[in-house]
Amino acid sequence: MKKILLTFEGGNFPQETLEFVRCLNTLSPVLLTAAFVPEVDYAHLMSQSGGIAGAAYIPQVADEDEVIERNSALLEEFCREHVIQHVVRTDRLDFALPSIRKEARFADLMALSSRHFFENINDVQPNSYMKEILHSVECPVLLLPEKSDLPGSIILAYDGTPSSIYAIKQFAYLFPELSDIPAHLVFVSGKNDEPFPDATLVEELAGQHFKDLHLVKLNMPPYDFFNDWITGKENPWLVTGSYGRSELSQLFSKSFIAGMIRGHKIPVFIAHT
Amino acid sequence: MEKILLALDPQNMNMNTIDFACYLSRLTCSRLTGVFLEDLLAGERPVIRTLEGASYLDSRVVPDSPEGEEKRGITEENIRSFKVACDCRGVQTLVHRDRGVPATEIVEESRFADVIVVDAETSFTKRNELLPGRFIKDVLVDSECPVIIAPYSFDSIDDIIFSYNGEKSSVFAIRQFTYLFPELRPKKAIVVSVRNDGEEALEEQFKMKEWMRNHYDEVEYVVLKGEPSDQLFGFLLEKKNGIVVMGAYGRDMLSRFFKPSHARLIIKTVNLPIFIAHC
Repeated sequence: MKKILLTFEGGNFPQETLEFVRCLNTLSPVLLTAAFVPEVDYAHLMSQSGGIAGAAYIPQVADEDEVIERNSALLEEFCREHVIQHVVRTDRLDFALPSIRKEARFADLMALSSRHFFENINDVQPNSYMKEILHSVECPVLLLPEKSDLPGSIILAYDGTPSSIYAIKQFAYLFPELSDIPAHLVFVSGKNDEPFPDATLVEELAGQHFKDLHLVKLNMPPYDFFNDWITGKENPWLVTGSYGRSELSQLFSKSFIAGMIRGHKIPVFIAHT
Repeated sequence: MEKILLALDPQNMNMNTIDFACYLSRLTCSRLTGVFLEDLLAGERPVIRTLEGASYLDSRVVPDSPEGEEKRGITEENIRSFKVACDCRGVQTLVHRDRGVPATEIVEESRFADVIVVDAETSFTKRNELLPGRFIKDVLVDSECPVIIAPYSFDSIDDIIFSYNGEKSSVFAIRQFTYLFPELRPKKAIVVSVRNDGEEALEEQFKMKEWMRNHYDEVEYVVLKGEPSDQLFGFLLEKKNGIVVMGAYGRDMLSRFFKPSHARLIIKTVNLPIFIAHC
């Protein structure tokens, strides 16, 4: 049984992410851990700016406890109705990010909305909270657009690096139920003559986990890959790795995954060592 | 189905290790890939050769020299016995022949594997090394997938012993083992933690137990007091038919756990497979 972590920031109620967890539960039973975390992480704000700047706007929720009580009741009802095993953590601490990190260490997967995660801080995703979480949590993260479904095809982004292989392995271990779905192991290269890195070895590995596997080498810029190629697939999920802070931020600055997150287009599974 | 690699010294193959690797392959319905690591820089006894009147020491084995010929013969023979042994145990095989520096070769293969099985005594050197040798240590530190050190002899797995200290790497190892071998869920899981100071944070214990309950049917928690590696060793001594799962807490922790006085004892006396993963 997979233990899935879902965070509720302040008064937010991630209805669409819950719907998605319901879908996953039909695939194989899950234990949903709902963690209510404060809307603003004061410690984080302090460290970012060396003090809370005068211009920083910290939204106030009139009565957070009341909102949380209401949301918690809604969640209970939703889970009962759809027979989802769940636990609710309402023992909120002052620091959101450290408590999310702690929860994530003991979870199999963290699901978060690619639009709403701490949107009160900055609604241009990925915002600093999301970047921080993506780079520091110890379990894989599934970023979800507003309407997500179970995958019709799986896109395994591969560039020959240890981190891309790591992500593919983690995805395969977590979702053995998806092994029959068409999987495309994609190597995107800007150069015509660049060979597919370690094609035989990676096929040997991925072939054990995905029954309908296709190796695809695409000569196109990443932008076209994300906008044309992926969107042409049926309900695609993208599986990608990231390695340490520098590589992750490089990916973001090149608008590699960031474009996907901003466009709220498809679910993105990110795992890093 | 997983990609399981078995690292083999083509000059010195251990049937017990093959037996254990076949058990894992059958358990997970996987094919077993035998990686024959042919050491090109073999530490053979150097011989004096003469070239254009000048003598020099040569420690290489030239492929067409009688020594090279003999080595090749042994390798071919061992590959044949490996295939036959796996066939008899109903396991499909694949053979990779890697020539170069053995530890480097297997680390490169590890990126594209789910788990590597090694024999603790594999060393690729004629020197009398303390167990585990340099090869095993290098593989443990650099491998990009979990490593299982095969036991000296093997019957079955009835218990899974998780060594847990609340840190990132021990949780990582527990998770990786669980994902790789979901078939072992009905077995008894024993979570052993060793404390030499105060109590573990209650909150963390609670989260850990919640996770374990979700993945194993029967879980037992054991808390030992004292120096971690001594206590763990003492506990493992009494165990039979189990597998030990531990995180590699970086090179330091590994070398402390495998300190010369212990390692030989653990590998020879404890006789349990040891699963090591690091993040």
